[in-house]
Amino acid sequence: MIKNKKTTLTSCLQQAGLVLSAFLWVMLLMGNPAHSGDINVILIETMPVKTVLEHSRHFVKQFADLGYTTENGTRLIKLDIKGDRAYGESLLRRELDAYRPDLVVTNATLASQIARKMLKGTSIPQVFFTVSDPVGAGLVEVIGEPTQSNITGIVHMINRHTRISMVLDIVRASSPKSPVTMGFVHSNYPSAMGDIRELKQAAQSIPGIIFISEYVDYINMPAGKNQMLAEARQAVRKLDSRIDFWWEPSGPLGELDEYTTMIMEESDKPILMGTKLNSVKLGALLHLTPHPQTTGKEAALMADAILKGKDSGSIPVLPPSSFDLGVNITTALKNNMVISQHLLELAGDQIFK
Amino acid sequence: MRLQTKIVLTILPLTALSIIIVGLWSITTIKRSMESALEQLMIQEIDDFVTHTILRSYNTLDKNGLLGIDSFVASYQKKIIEESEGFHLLESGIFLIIDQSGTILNRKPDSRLNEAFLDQLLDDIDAESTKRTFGHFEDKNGHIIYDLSFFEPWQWTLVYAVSHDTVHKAQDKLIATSALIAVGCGVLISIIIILMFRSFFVKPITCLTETAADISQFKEVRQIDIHTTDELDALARSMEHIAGSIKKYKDSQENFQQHLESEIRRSTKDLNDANITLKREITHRKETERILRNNEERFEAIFESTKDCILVWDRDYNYLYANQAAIDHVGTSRDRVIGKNIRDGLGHVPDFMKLWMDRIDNAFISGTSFRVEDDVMVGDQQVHSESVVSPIFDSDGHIFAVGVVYRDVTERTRMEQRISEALHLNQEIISASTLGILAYREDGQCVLTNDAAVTIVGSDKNALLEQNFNHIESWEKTGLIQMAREVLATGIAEQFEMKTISSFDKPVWLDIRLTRFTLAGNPHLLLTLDDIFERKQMEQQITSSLKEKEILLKEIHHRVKNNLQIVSGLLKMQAAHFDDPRILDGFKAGQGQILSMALVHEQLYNSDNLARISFKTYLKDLVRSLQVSYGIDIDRIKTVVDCPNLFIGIDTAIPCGLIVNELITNSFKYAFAEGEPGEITISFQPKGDEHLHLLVTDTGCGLPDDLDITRTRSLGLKLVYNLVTHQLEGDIKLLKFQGTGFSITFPYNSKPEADRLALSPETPS
Repeated sequence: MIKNKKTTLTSCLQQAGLVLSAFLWVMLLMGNPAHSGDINVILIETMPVKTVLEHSRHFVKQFADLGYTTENGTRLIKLDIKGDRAYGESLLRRELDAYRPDLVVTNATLASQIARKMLKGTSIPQVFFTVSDPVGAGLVEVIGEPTQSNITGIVHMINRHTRISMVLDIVRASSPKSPVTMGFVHSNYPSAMGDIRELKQAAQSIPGIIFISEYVDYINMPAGKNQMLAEARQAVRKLDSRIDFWWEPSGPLGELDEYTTMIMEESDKPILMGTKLNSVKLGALLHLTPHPQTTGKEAALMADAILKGKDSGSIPVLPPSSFDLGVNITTALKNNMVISQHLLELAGDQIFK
Repeated sequence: MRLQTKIVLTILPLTALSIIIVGLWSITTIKRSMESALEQLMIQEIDDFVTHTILRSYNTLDKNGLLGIDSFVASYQKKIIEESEGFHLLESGIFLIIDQSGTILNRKPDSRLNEAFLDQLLDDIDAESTKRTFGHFEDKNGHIIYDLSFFEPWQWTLVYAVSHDTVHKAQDKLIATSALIAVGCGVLISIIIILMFRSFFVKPITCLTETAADISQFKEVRQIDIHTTDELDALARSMEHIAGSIKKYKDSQENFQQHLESEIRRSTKDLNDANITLKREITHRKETERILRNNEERFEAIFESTKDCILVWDRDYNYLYANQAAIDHVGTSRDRVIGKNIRDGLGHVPDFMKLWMDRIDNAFISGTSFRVEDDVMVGDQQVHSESVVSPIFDSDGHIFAVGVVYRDVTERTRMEQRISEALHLNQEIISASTLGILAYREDGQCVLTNDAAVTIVGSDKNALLEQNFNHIESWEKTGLIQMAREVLATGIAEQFEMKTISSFDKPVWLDIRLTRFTLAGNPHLLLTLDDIFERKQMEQQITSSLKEKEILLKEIHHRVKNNLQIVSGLLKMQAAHFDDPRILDGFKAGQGQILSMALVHEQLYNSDNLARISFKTYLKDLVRSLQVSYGIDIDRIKTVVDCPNLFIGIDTAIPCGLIVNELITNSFKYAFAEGEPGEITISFQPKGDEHLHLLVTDTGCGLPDDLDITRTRSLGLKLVYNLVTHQLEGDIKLLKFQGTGFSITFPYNSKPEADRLALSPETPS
């Protein structure tokens, strides 16, 4: 009789141990969301241009490094909307009708606008990056503060004042002319429109610089590339006699190497600020953009926080925390310009001749 | 003195001395260290500038292959020279960048460099540079300390020079500071010693002194605040003990003194209480005497001021008191009465004197008051008097005198007699009245009734007098209570008739009148009742009789109308036996005339007023009857009746009806050719206040021009003329225009007709 009781007690203790072990495993798994069950994340890319692809690559890598891999139950669906709004909407609609994603990550302005339009009012969180003007694009109301909505993200633009001041320091050291006139040929793509609006607004408070601009209609890429470039060429010819330097725009048009080449073919005025690093390689004096790897990492961290339960509306929209500076020494020497020591130090390896 | 005191007094000054000695030693040591530290600082500063500013720029240019680009090199060197101007320098120091040609690159026009100092410095640099490596040096005179560094790629010599005065000034400051610290320490230690001395000795001794003073003044000392475990502490405890002993002695003395004081206080209190009681009694007695005096004076004043005669006799019939009225009444003076005997005053009327002596005796014997009346002759007038005889008691309850209050009530007695007679008369009038009279107080209680009221309501007098109208059920049901209260409140009289059952179950039909009157300043309600039962019954009989007559009259009119219709029917039947159109016309005309009269009677028995008919309704009925009788197409020959809502008597209505009948019949028969349209208008209007005007026109072919209505042979027109002139006493005019018109005016006054019919002249609404 006593022996039976002892056996029963032992059995009870063993069962309790099993239950406790199971509970600990569950708690452990709950601590890592990548193991807490299937997670559906949609990554929408505006178009397959270099900047977009590079940012996506860094985001995907950082996201995987945080444990969000297929093996761990995370399904990352990548949608390329090819710069077409209607196409993008249909793609996302099809996904949303099929299942409810845990997160939608959007790369560049058009993709972010489409997702915002379709997710607004839902509880599906959205993280954007590679968007140079999220306020002008209607995604958020203010930068640097929580949105109190289901959206947050990282801005893809260095402060316009900083960029203008940087350029003016170089120009003033070599030329007494003031004000200097910057030519800006762009498409009516949202980020490009926001870019020139912000630049003109910033120029109003900085004496010594004027922006004059021409724009061409945006045509879906890549089909519309040649036509847009042809129209941009006309615009460059139109502005050439009225400006001192060129300034490359944000958006798909400015991302094209052909755009930089086209300006250099049509004008002997130097491009002072290039949109991408290749612009500097091709002959633009400077290039200053957020660092894709850092942006991708920060976006991945935002996504991780949201998937772990943090409210996207409580995460502030962040400005970029690090950036790439490219300098073309040859262009500087050709135009009798001196690049300051600290700029050359900041450019590091990205100094081209 | 205990150990702590000795320690304090010996160690602390030694400590202060040690601090001063150590401070002086430190000054001499630090002086050398300062020079060494300055040298190190200068070396560090200049090395940092070379490494972080010059070498960094050079490396950037070198790395990017820009050392051969003059614009970049010049720009970067310019930047370095600009930055050197912000080089951190000591107060008297200078920082120079000198190129290989000896030019100072960072010298500004407004430089604060002392030229002599600069010349000496450059000379020294030249000399040193030839024999020494670069490093830290002093000049020949030891006035300048400078540090040299050479940047070979650009052949730049960098000089950081400081005047030796900088070190001297710092040393002077240090010595001054140290001296200040030493003095401060001395002062501080002195203060500490003073405070400790004060704490250890001054304060306890002061405390002991104050305590001793308190003890000497027998003040209470509980505990002396000294706890130092030394001699002062022992002294403090001893003083506390002394203070305790003194306190005990003092307490015992105080207790004895308190006991003594309490005894004195108690005795004093008893004396005070006795004194107060005595004072109170004296005061009370004085007050009583004063009140008595006042009362006596007041009573005397009352007695003297009253118009009643007051006399007081003793047991021997002597006058003890007579007031002014009594003196005046007998027409003498007070001294001739007071003290005299009743026999002196009334001896001449022995019977009257005897009567009063008996009354005085009676009062003495009975000890009670009584009232007497006398009729006496005063002069030639008989006076009726009323007297109250009362025994007067002394304080022991014994009768010592008899007082009489005498009053002449002749006039009052006469007035009462008259009032009594008047009341009797009123009572008789009320009793004899055929109207029921009841009077109620404001609270509703019945206070007066008469026989007629008793008869009318079927009660007895006592039952009525016991009634309060607030509790009479029949008054409640009929609303009389509310009405009575309103009359009492407002004073507005009310009169109305009421058929009801009295509170004594008698059916009554009363003319009731409620009036407010005032008696003895209080409002009363006067209720007069007139039994109108018989009168009302008679009125009902008359009304029913009138109704019966009215019904009979209606019946007569009905029968007349029926008879006239029968006559008309008989004429129609008789006409059926003739073929001659003229005879037939005569019959038809007769029928029409009879029907016009029958219509009047029909209107009469159908109306509420049997004397008058609505002539407008009558005319419309007559026209309609004639249209039917003559088979007139009303769409072809239109008929217009223009008559206000006018009511006229039968004496006027029948001839008017016959006239209209004749004239319309003529128009129907002769005015319009076969199939031609036309219009007949009958207007009947008042003309002024005393005439009526009848106008009958048609739009037909008209009458012959030579027609004279006064001599016409037409039976119908003759009838019209005669009715107008003889019966209505009016005028008739024949109007000749496009068609035919007859204008008839006759006098009319409704009153004679109404009077004749003995009916109300009002027009029914």
